Amino acid sequence: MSDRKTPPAEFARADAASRLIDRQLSEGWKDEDETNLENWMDESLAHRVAYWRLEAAWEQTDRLAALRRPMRETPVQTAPARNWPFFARIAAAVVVVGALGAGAAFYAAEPAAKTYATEIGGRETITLRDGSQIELNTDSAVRVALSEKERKVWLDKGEVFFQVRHNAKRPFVVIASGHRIVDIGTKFTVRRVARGLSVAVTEGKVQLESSDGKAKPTTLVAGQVALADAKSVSIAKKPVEVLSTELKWRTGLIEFRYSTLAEAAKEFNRYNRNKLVIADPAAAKLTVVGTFGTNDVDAFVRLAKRVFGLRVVQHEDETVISR
Amino acid sequence: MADTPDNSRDIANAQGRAPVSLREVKAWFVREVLPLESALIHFLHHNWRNQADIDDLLQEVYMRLIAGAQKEIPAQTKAFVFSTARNLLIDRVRREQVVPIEAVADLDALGVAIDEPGPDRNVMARDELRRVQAALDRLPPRAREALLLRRVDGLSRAEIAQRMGIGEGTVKEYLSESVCALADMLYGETEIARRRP
Repeated sequence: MSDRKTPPAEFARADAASRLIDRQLSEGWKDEDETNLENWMDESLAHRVAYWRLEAAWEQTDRLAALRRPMRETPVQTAPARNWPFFARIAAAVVVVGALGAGAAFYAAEPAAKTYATEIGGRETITLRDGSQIELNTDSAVRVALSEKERKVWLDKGEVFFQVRHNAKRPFVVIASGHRIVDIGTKFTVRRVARGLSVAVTEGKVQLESSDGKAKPTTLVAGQVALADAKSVSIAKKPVEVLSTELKWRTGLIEFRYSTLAEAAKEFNRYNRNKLVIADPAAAKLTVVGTFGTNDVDAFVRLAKRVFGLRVVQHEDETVISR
Repeated sequence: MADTPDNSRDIANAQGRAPVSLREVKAWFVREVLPLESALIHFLHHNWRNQADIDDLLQEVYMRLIAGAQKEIPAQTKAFVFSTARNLLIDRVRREQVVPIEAVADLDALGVAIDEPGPDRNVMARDELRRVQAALDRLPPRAREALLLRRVDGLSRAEIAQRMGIGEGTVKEYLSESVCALADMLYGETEIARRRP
């Protein structure tokens, strides 16, 4: 209304919703898509405001995972209602939502689970009653439900290292991003990434399945890392020392072996609220080697200043590093 | 973001202030401004005759707030929000000669809302989960189902389409509908029902 370039609120809103959902649903969101979105937001403050508002509402629904079932102090043992195979039960639970249209019915369909979570920079080890251990990295959340027949863990966000006491009669199953990881006696890490998850096996083996049971299960052995999204699974081999480097967080450390400054900053940002921003493309490409405390951003900033001679500007919630 | 120059930042620099990053502005907007939305809509409803203008007025207030915050994050958000809204209404009356004088109830009374107590953040945090849940219960059933499949189960667009027996385009429509309705219920709800086409 006031300036000719400002779209009516209704249009800005519809456009923002469409772009937000595209971004949230895209399985191949690229840098150019992000640039496109940024350009659209730069066109008019009306666009930016509409997008921020809807994105904030979308992010509020993060909390929904916690509503899935009633929380109890101790995981209780709940016999499955019938002897249906696991994914038939999941499918049945989903059908309940469709039929009754009631979230509560869906949440109640799973046995009572206990939630464990860490904040940004946090770390926690949980020992289950069966002796298995779950180690949560920064900004992570799991729900654990133990029953006579199986042990289930939902990875709702972040990264977790599992050391499982194997019991063939009581499988240990990790569920994340539309996939199931079934332990076959092992130590492994599961991390949720942008559009799926990564599974790294350090000892023993696991079976990776899709929750809908459509894709063929994949067996992963020690030294293998799988990246899985909704459509595909790719497997890479990593030397044991690389895998153990990637597990340094278990002792509160991050190790960089010839990472770029940009990668290193991204890794630090997982652990700290004050975010590092590398504002200069040439600086972003510098190579970093070394071990840091996960929360020791200061040490990293000193390195940037003294070793690389970069300029560091502190803002309220970010530290901008440039030439 | 940091390397895209814009005028407001240049002005801020010229005045010797540190530029405010978009990230900080966004954090401020989400944390401090959005919780005031229902009070702001209430204010606009009460002080502007043509109710069909409310959505655009709200958008314009937000745009002015963001432009202001890019120069400096205001210390008193609530006062800043309502004085911005008030100034916008006054500008409108002055510029749009066609607006009848009674369009604005009482220009001098426009400052009143500034003194209302703000939302209590602790109470809000405690209530947020309940609010999201309540909002969810009021979504149309199919839109809610699509949202749950995405946000609780983490299913992909194709998987949601298959589970619900609908096309992928419809999945997107349901999710767009859900997020718009949720934003209204979480932020913009007032006792005066908002009209949505």
